[in-house]
Amino acid sequence: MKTGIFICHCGHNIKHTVDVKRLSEYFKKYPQVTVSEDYPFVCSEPGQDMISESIGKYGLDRVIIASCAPSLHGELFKDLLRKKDLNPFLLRRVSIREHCSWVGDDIEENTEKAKRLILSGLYGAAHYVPLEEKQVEVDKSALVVGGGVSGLSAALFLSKMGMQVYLVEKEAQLGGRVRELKSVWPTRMNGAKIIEEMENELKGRKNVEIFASTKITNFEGFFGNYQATLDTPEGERRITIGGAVVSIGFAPFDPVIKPELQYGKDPRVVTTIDLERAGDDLKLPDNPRIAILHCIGSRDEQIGKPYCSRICCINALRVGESIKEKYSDSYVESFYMDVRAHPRGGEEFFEDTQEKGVLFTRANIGEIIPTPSGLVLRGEDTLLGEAFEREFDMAVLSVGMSPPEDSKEMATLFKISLDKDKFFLEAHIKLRPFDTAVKGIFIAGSCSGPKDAEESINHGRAAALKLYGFLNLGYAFVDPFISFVDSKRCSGCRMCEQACVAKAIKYDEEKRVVHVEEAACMGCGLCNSTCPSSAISLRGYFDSIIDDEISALLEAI
Amino acid sequence: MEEKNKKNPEIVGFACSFCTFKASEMAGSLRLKYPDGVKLIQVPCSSRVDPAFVIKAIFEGADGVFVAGCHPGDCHFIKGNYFTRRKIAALKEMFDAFGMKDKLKLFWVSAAEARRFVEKVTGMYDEIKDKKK
Amino acid sequence: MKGKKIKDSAMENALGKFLEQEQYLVMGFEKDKGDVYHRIFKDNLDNYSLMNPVFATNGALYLRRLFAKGAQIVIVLRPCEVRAYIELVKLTQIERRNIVAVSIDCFGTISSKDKNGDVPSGPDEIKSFFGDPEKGRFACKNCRERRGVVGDAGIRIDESGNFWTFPYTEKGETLLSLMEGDPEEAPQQMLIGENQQVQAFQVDMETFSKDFSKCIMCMNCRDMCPVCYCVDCVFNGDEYLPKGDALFNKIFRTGSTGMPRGKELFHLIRMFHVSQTCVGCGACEEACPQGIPLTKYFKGISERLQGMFSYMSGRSFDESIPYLTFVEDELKDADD
Repeated sequence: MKTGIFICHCGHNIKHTVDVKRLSEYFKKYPQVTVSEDYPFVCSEPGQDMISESIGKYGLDRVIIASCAPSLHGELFKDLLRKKDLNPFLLRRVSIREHCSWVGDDIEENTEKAKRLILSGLYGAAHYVPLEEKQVEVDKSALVVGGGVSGLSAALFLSKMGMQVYLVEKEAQLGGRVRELKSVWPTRMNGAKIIEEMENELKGRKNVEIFASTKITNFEGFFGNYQATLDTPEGERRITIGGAVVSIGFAPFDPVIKPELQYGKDPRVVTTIDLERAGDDLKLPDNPRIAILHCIGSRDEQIGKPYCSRICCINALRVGESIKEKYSDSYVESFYMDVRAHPRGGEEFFEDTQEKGVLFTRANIGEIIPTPSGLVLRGEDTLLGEAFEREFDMAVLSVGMSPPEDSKEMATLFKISLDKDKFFLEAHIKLRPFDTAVKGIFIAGSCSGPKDAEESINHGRAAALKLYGFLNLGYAFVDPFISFVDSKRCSGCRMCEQACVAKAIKYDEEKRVVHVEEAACMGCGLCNSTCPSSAISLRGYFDSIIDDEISALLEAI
Repeated sequence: MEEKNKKNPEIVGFACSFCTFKASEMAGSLRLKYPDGVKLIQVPCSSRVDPAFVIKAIFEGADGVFVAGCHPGDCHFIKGNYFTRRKIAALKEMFDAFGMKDKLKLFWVSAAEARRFVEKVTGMYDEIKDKKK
Repeated sequence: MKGKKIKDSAMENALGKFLEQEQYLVMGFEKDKGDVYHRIFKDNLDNYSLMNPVFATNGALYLRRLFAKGAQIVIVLRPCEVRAYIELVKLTQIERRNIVAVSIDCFGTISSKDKNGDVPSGPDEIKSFFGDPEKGRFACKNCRERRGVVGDAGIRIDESGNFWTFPYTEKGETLLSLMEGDPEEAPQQMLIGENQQVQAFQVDMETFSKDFSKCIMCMNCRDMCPVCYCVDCVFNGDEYLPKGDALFNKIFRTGSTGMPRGKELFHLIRMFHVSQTCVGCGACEEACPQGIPLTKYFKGISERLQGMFSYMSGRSFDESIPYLTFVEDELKDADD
């Protein structure tokens, strides 16, 4: 066996707390290690060249790269092997940055830990076998789930790039939440108008099919060849698509959860959304006294919403402005924690509203007490540290964003992870912000966390661009990590068949052994751990690999 | 080095690629600290963990082993972690019968729960370290 | 419950009738010069014995990979043997289609190693033989199910020593219809009652290591275990056996000079493998040349682990083996 070990310094990130020189020297003594090197950045051009050259020069048959987490630069290093005609599954990534240099401070301890981690990679990789990368054709079509601004912009982009697009919206109308907005920050354009523009453009395109009032009932397959079942008003429809952008938006926070605010019980307590809907019909007395409450359903640990919803400060400011414009003799007081008018022009707008006469009080509102004459707000001024009670004619709750009601359901359907706040979780917050753990499934818009309209449009377009990059290749490699049966060792007890979640294992009555239906296998390895004799194994995760990894981690090998 | 190793616990963790392993990556990115005695083995799903691996790790000298997967109902492979739960719970019962209950733990850590991951592994490490003294 | 009250010989007559048909077989026990063994009878039931107070092997072992080619076979065995048979049916190692399994009340058995002189064969003889509670194997004294209540039919003995037969499935019904007499209400109390609950097994690693230090890894325990059915055991390879340099490294790392722990690993992993299917028959202990108290461990662990899922191996054909199924809302405190 000829193994090459390449240890990355990652600039100072690894080198700072791991003695990389000592490590690369240490591994030279192993007979199965042909070359052991350390390098400042193995992911850089010269770093890649070094690995490439070594593969050719020494005829390496195992490559171990000890660097950052395996979820990063995965394809880059695999390609290095491919170019050298070495099976990419003979590559082993060892994470000595995220799992070692960044989590400990002691250089001695970290070096020892990194040594064990690389050793475990070395012994594990010894059992690797070349795996066949099946190339499959990629259907140049995309499913866009959700017809809000981000979905519309994703669909438009994909369609313009020549992909067949299926846009699915559960409501009868496209446009989502933005359609309801009178003026969309920062252009102050009418929301419905923005949507109509996008919708008209989309409807004029030949390669777009729009399904309104439609639900997705099933989603299966693999990248390049997913099948979705749609429950449309015209009946069930099955479509094949290469990939999908999921942009199911958000649900406005429902203040009923906070009963002390009287929302839903007293008509004088409204939300910013109610105001948008009411528009000009809003009837207020002369000299109205209006209270605006920020952060309803945001930055509130008690109700499990610790995050900032990002859009509601601007919404609250807009409410204040519009009331002041309409009723110049009104008294408008905004109760805030912090004003985070973060989008473009937001800070200036905050100042404008103050100049227009909206009062800002930093306060926690404890409760709203309805009286026949008005609403009494009881709270604490957090700057003065004093309790206060003030009476208003109306209270406007600036509600935040909650995950969509069907986020859990959709997450299960598309196998997307949820973050702690139940929004969709991206694969990597900085490096793969639109990707999910599933290849070909991207997320866009506020379903992955609060965003304003501008950000959502950009997010949708970016996710679409990522998907387009995959689809346009026209082919994809299928993960070869699926199970297979050693039929000579199979006892035919059918335990794996009973346990298999994907129902990918079939029993042969004649031969009294089982076999795996490769296309259906998901690669979880449950069968492998269920089989007492491990006659069924999961490629890439054989018993022998994991056994030796355990031994090596504990230096008992 | 030898002397030190005798004192500090060695913990082997089997981490599901889709949740705990991701959480551990995030823990690293956030520069959260946890003891170097905690080392992970990546598995595609917690259901890949054969109880034999756990027993083997203990006999190879691990002071503790944990199996970590997605919260019940959140499995990337739909139902895998329910099987893990049964098997590992049974294995824990077996360890209990042999008076080594605290050597095996089962954690549910989602991909977003980097802090929970660190809390869990540090807690386990400290517990074992206290017993070792 | 309704059953047929029969004479001691009635069962034999019924089985005889069954054997008259072509390709029909009976598996049971044979008396041979003061000894009793397992035997498969064809054509006639010469030297047939309904009971066997000696335990050498679990009869289900012989049925493994039995995929009868058209033959029909009646097995009349002890409850632990029928339970192992039922587990093997669930594991597709035996085809149930061709088998009628009858369990018979068991007074307990002695080890074939302790056999000394002629073996009692009639029920009365056996009953008085086991009058001494010290007699009998550990497995039998701690047996969870000594009643003939498993399989397709059962033979029970009432307190006055009468034999009763009860059908549990349609197949059992058909077999018992070969027997004379009409079903009548059987007494509530039988000679052999339900076993009391045993205490949860608890041991420490030191005792375990001491007990298993005698192991020579002959793997007879595995080979004679009725539910250890794999055609190729994982322990046939060297994956779980320590290698020389591994031992060397370990000595340097831990400072210990202990010898390979591979045998403990073998027993613990096997213990987990059979944890849901073990019937606690003690065949492993019978097979052990070193006299290791295997039953105590295997039976103890499997009873604890089966108890977690209210499962009992071999109790019914329809219960799924716990590791192959799950309930979403269970084991709430499994995680730490």
